[in-house]
Amino acid sequence: MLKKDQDRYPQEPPQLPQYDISSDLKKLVILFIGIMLANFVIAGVCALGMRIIQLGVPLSDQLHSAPQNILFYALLTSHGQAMFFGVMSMNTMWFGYYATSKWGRKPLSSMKWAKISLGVMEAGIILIFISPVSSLGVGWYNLMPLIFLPGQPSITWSGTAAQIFLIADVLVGIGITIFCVIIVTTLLSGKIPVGTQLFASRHGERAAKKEGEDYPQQDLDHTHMAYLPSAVRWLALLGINSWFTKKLRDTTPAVPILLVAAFVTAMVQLIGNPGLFFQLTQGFISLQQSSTTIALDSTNWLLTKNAWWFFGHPIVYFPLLIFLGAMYYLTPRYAKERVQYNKWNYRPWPFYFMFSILVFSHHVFMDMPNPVWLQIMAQTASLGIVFPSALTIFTALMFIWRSQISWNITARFFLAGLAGWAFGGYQGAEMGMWGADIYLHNTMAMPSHIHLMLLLGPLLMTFGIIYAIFPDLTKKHMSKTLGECHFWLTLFGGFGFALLFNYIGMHGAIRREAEIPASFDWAMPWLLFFALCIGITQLIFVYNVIRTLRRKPDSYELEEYNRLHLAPTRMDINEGGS
Amino acid sequence: MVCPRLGNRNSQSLSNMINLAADYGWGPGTLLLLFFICIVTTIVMVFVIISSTSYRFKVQSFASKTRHHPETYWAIGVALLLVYLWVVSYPWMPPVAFSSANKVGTSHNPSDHIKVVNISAGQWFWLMNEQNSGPLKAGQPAYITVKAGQTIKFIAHSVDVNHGLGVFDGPSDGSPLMFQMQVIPGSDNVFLFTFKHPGIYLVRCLEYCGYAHPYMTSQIKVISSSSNSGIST
Ligand SMILES: [Cu+2]
Repeated sequence: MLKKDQDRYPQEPPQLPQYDISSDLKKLVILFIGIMLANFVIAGVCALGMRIIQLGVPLSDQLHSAPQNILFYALLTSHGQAMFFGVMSMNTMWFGYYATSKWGRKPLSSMKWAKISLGVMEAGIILIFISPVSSLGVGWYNLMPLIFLPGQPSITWSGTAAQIFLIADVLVGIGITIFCVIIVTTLLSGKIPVGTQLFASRHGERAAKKEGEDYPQQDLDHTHMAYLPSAVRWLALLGINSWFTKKLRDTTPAVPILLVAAFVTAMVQLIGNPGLFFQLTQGFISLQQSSTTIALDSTNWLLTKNAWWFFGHPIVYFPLLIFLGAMYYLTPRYAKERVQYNKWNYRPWPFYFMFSILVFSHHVFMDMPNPVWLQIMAQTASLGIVFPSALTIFTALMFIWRSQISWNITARFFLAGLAGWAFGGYQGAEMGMWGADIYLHNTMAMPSHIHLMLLLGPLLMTFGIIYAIFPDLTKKHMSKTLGECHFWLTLFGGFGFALLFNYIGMHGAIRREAEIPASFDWAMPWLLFFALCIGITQLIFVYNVIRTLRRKPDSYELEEYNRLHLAPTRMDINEGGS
Repeated sequence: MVCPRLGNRNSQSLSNMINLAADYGWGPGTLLLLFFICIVTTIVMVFVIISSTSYRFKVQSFASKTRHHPETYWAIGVALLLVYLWVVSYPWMPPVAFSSANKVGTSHNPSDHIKVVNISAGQWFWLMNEQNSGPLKAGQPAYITVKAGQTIKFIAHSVDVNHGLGVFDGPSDGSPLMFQMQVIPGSDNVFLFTFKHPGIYLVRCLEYCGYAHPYMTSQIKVISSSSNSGIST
């Protein structure tokens, strides 16, 4: 019994804002997490299937290995899209809803549409999971016109399968659009929490003099709600005012950085989504054509590809940006540190906004017919996005350095996520330069990059957040023992396999090859081993979630929950711990 | 190790660094891996420093901590580094690199300097021939012979889906990648390249194009520039 009581993360309650989100939203967030974990497990099984097929005895005759290859590509497709949309994007959605309401200190503009967004997304994901059954293998990026031309002899997927896949992506696009609209309308309407640097520096001076209580202390931590004029609100929500001169900065309010992150995420994706819809429209038009030759000749496939990546790069940043905003709140809170207005925390955000829209064209670096200005823009934007990224990493490290961090699971998950994202970002900068991309594009260095960027970046941060907000959602803490297993095994498996991908990629192993060249056969058992490590540990995590959901809160947890939610003190809300 | 051409006019450029490394027998892959290890080491060291010093710092007041912003110096440093990288990699961009190659070709006798190779890509084959040597057709040898030192202008077309022309530095699977371009249906996909050394160079498809994508291979034979025969096979 004693052991059971200790099997949680004690003395470290989630230091979240005083505002208590509606129980409806709490239920929705838990439902989102559950569905996301189900998608994660299924998409993970797809990945294990791919690893096992690549382990298989090499067959010299292509006809003999065709069924295996077809299955490989079908698994690859559903793994990729389900992970992107059903796991990573869903994480952003539930955390976006949670954070916007929690840190925005108000209900979402529409709970009904938030629920609809989950339904629409998951309907799309279920259709995506049909593709392994229907043998559809087009890759997560659905590079047209492959979807209409499965190859000769046409023993692979049917036109119906292609249609189902396109409909799945339409649903996903709609789900993400609903999310973005909810976030934007919630933040642009009504009151919003504000603080300014002026309040902050006043506080600093007063604290140094040990003076009294008569200044508006709550402004410092963005607990003061205000109707901001729309022009000022846009400046604050995109973080643009952080670049103003000191005098103007002191008079333009800052909103909590997590809201800036949510707003930038939603705006970038709203701008990027038409790219997906353009590509899907081209797809439906081509399916209507009487013959594939007409479909092939009547469409500009380069434009279609560019349009897809106009959506496809933002969707890579969609899972990421909001968690970078969360880092300032969830890591330093455990570091017993306030989250104040520091202009450098805000300064990366206008750049994230601008460059994550423009950066898409580095995916089409190897497309020679693209115009010169696009190539130059691609290189500028991909190096450009390194700037805010480097600032975020540095400000986060400075924050921790200036405080006393306690290395609990959330802080560790965030720091590991930051490291994974930094490694991935370094690779991204390499591939953002034409001279290096020519060696790396479409090699295994790309899957390495994307797994570092997502699996070992925002997904780790998501896990950290789940451990941190679980008591707020359910009044219960997750098991510490299982949590530690989860942390270390995920890290071991994840980094092992991403770095091995990178190694073989740099030695010329190509991505999306059902049958890997014999010279890389040695790596396949290791990749399977690392993938199994990740897989097993996620099952541990799922078990931990289910077990915690099913049990009743103990007296310690109830006391803590009530203290934080019913009778909060300033210390509980803004300082670390009691 | 051969590099995409024409990047080496700046003595400090990345391309020269890769050339230099190649002289020591390092491919670009190894070089990039070394860069990667450097970054990893740096980050790990930063983490160790943070974790070992963090307990010495008590919570201080906000004002005293933010009077000095090392962030400012970091931002300026990163920005300068990025501008440098941008300038260094600018000559590598295909339109820039290719325009100077075309100038070399046209100012003298173009046929001496640039040899055009037509490529047709489809599920799942490569067809290659020289300019003016008849239409590309099935049954044609899927490889071509060119001379070392001569600039080759590859013009690739796709008859069906998006493929990728990847040329590897050697005849076997697992040779390092030398250059690549996407082969998009409905467009002229052009790449200029000069093979420096004679040998067999493997061609593989670098864009997923259906279930037999891993087997879409071909080769390019490069003979020494002094030999007179065997231009085309
Ligand atoms: Cu191909």
